[in-house]
Amino acid sequence: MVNKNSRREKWRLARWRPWVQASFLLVWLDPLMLRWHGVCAPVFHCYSCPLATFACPIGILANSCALHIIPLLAIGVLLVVGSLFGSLICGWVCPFGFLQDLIGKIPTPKLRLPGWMGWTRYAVLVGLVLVIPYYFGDGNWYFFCRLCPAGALEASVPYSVQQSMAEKTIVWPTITKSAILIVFLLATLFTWRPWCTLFCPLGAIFSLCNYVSLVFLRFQPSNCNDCELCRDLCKHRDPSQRRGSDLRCIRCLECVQCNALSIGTVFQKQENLVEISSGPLDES
Amino acid sequence: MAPLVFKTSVGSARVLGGFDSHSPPPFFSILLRGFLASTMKNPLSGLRFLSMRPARWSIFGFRFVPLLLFGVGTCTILYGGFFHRLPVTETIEEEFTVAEPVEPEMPMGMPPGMGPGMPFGLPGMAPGMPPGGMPGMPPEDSQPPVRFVTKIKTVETTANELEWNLNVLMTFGGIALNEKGELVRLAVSTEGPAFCPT
Repeated sequence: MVNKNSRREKWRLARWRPWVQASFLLVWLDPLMLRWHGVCAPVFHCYSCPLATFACPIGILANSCALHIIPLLAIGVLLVVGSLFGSLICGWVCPFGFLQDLIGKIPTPKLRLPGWMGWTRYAVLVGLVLVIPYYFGDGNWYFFCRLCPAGALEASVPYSVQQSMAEKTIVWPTITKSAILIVFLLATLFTWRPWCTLFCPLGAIFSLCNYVSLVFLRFQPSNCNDCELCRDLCKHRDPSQRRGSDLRCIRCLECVQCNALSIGTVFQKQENLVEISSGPLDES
Repeated sequence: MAPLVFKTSVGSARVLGGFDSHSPPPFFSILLRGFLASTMKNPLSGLRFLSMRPARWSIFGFRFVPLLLFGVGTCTILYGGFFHRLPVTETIEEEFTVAEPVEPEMPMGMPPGMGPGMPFGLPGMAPGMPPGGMPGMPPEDSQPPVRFVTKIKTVETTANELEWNLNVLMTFGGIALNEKGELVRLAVSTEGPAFCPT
């Protein structure tokens, strides 16, 4: 009876996710027209969007690499948020993830990508965000912001519409950027969160923090009966991967419907040592 | 119970599970199996089978590392947002160009307007003098000749103003690297999205 009640509460927690994402959307797309671009938001949302409230951390990193300076505020924000929540930001707060979740609700056959493809995010982070801007500047064709589909969707499209309504000369986005946006939107129909799974450099940073964040998914082996429910509930990993926090987990908390998994903090009192060690799995 | 002992083809003794006295110890096999055993984890608990680390160290690590990262991030924000804001004055040398009047060189030993090369002792005309002008007098409408001189003055400026703008105000439009690798503010900022070059 106790397990049923706790399971019901966890189920309620997962049902709140779209509402929390929509609420945070009002923060990132500022309806009061406040422009706090001096503050870096911990989400993937283009600074060039006409409604952007805060600055994009990936855009700051890429532009700072191009200018050969250290973006102290952006690094600080990423460290603070990552150490507190890890990739919980991706699952509950990020507006670009929310958009993919909404498109993913269209009933089409979904493909689960293999686990190793999650490592491409780190190639994007190191290559397109850090190395290429540092050595070739922001004028290079492989500069991240020139390829970013979020920039195309949230900035290029609104500005094109704005210019056409003002009867000005429309500055169209490049063919490459437009093609990436179209491919991304099509891919969203056939797999869960393709951008987050394959390319998002911000998700790559936050997923590294999954192992060391204050909030983490705790696996309790004493409650596990190998029913495979947690693996079936997870949309972002292939079934062969282990439970709990890993690099591709976005902490959507769908899996906590299983009694063996729960969301907790490192300061919660543990029943035994096995439970504690089963949180952040990496001990090395 | 005595172990089973076999004789090899060369006559040496070989014990089941032991080493052959004529072969080197299987160091590679021992290392490989030891490494695998030490890295294998229990798939249920996530614990390494041969973990020698005391559990309380792991507990301390789980709690200390997030707090450490949080502290480092907070200090980074404070450094970027507060200390970076402090103006650091710097003296730099600025070049500027001024126009100085040039004194015309006069030939020695002759009156003004008289050139040495005039035939029959006729008085020469000053350069640019209109026809009918008075010999020896400069033309009425002529401007005094000037030359441009580059001078250097030392000025004080705020050294980290651009870095402050970039870190805090994020005014990316209008900031660029020049050919010397220095941050400079562009005179004319381009319109349109700063982060989204099309």
